[in-house]
Amino acid sequence: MKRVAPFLALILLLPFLALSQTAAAPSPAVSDQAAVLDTGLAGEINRVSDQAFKDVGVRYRLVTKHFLGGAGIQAVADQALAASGQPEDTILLLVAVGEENYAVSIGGRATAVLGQEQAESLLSSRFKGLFDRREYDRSAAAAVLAFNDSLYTAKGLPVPAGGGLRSYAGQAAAPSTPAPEATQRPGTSWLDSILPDEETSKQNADRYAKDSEVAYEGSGKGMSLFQIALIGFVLYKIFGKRRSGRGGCGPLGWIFGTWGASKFFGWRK
Amino acid sequence: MNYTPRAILAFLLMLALVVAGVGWGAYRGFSQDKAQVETALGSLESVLSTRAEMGHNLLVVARRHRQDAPDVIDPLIQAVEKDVGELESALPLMEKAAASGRLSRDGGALLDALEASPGVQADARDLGYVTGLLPRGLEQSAQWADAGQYNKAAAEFNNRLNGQVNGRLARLLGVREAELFPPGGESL
Repeated sequence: MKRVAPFLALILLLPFLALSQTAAAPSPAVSDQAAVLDTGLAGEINRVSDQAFKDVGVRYRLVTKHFLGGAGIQAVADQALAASGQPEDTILLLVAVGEENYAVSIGGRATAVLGQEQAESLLSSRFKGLFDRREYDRSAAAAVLAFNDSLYTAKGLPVPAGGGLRSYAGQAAAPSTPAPEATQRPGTSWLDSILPDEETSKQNADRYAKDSEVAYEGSGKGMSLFQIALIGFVLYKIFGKRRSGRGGCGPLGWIFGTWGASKFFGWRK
Repeated sequence: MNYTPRAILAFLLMLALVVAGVGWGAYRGFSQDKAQVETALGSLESVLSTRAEMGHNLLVVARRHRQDAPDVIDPLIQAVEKDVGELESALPLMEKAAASGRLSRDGGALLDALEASPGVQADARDLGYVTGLLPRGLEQSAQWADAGQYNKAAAEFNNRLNGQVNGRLARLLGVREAELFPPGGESL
C-alpha cells in the first residue's frame, strides 16, 4: 500500500497540475479571424512574442477581422486587449481588413516601454503603406518587428535577429486578396470576423429563441388529471349521496363533473 | 334554533370566496404568461442590434464603391442608412422590426447593385464580401431576429386568453392581449 500511495497522489494531482498549466498559458499571439495571414507567420509572431515577454516583459497580440459592425475600432481594440490573458503586459494591434482600418491598444505596464503615440507613429511609418496595399503578411510582420525593435532599443538590449519574421516583412509579394468566403481558421467562425462581439450576438439570439419557446408553452400551471380526480372525489365525499343512499351522483359523476368544469375554466395543464 | 339564514350566509360567503379564488388564480396565471411573452419581445430587441451591425458592414463596402454608379447606389445607401438608423434609435419595437424587414429588402437591392458595379467586379476582396460574407451575415441575422417566433408565442397566448373562461376572467381583471407584429414584419 505504501508503494502505491505516491502513485495515487500523483494521479490525483495530475488534473490540478494540468489546470494550473492551462490557467498560466497566455492566449496565442495571433487571432486571425479574417484568415488573411499565413499560418507560418502566426507561428513566427508567437515565437517573437514569447521571446519579447522573457526579455522585456511585453507580449504582442494581433487580431484580424473583416468588419466591426459599426463599432469604433479603438473601442474594439481596447475590449480585445482587456479580454486577452495578460492585458497589462500586452501590445495589441487590431486590423479590420474590410474596413481598411487599424488600431493599437497598449496595456498599462507595456505603456511604460512603448507609448501610444510612439506606437501609432511606428505603424504609420512601417505598417500602413503595406496594409493599404493589402500585403497583409508583410504588414503584420513589419508591425511586430517595429514594436520589437523599439522595445529592445528602449531597454538597451541588442535587437534580436528575428530571422523568420524579417523574411516575411521583407518579402515583396503580390497584393493578397483572399476571397473572404473561402478563408476560415480552426477555432474561429465566420461570424467572428464580421461582428464586434460574436459571442454576445449568439447569446442574444439563443435567449430570444428560448424566451419565445417558453412564452409559447405558457407557464404550464394547472391541475393534472389525478388532482382533478382527487378534487372530484373530495367533493363527492362532502356533497355526494345522502346517508340514506338515495339521490345525488356517485363518485364517478363528481369526478367527471369536475373534469368538465376544469376543461370549461381552463384549469387543466 | 333556526340555522337557515346562517347557512345561506355561509353558502354565499363560500361562493364569493370561490369566485375570488378562481379570479385571482386566473389573473395571476395569465399575468405571468403575459410577462413571459413580453420577455420574449424584449429579447428580440437585443437581437435587432445585430441586424444594425450587419447593416453597418454592408455600408462600409457600399460607400467605398458609391462612385461606381452613384445614381443607383446612392439612394440605396441612403435607404440602408435610414433602416440602420431606425434600428439603433429609441423607436418602439414594432417600428424597429419593420425597419429590420426593410433592411432585408434594401440591403438585398444594394448587394445586387454592388455586385453589378465595375469597381466591385475589379476588386476580388470586395466581390468576395458582396457575394459571400455580407449576404450570409444579413441572412443569419434575419434568422436570429425572426419575429415569427415571437408572433407564434403571442398568438398562442391570445388564443388562451380569449378561448378559456379563465382567460376571459383575466381579461375582465385587466390582462390585455399580447401585441402581434403585422404580417409583413414576420419575415424580417
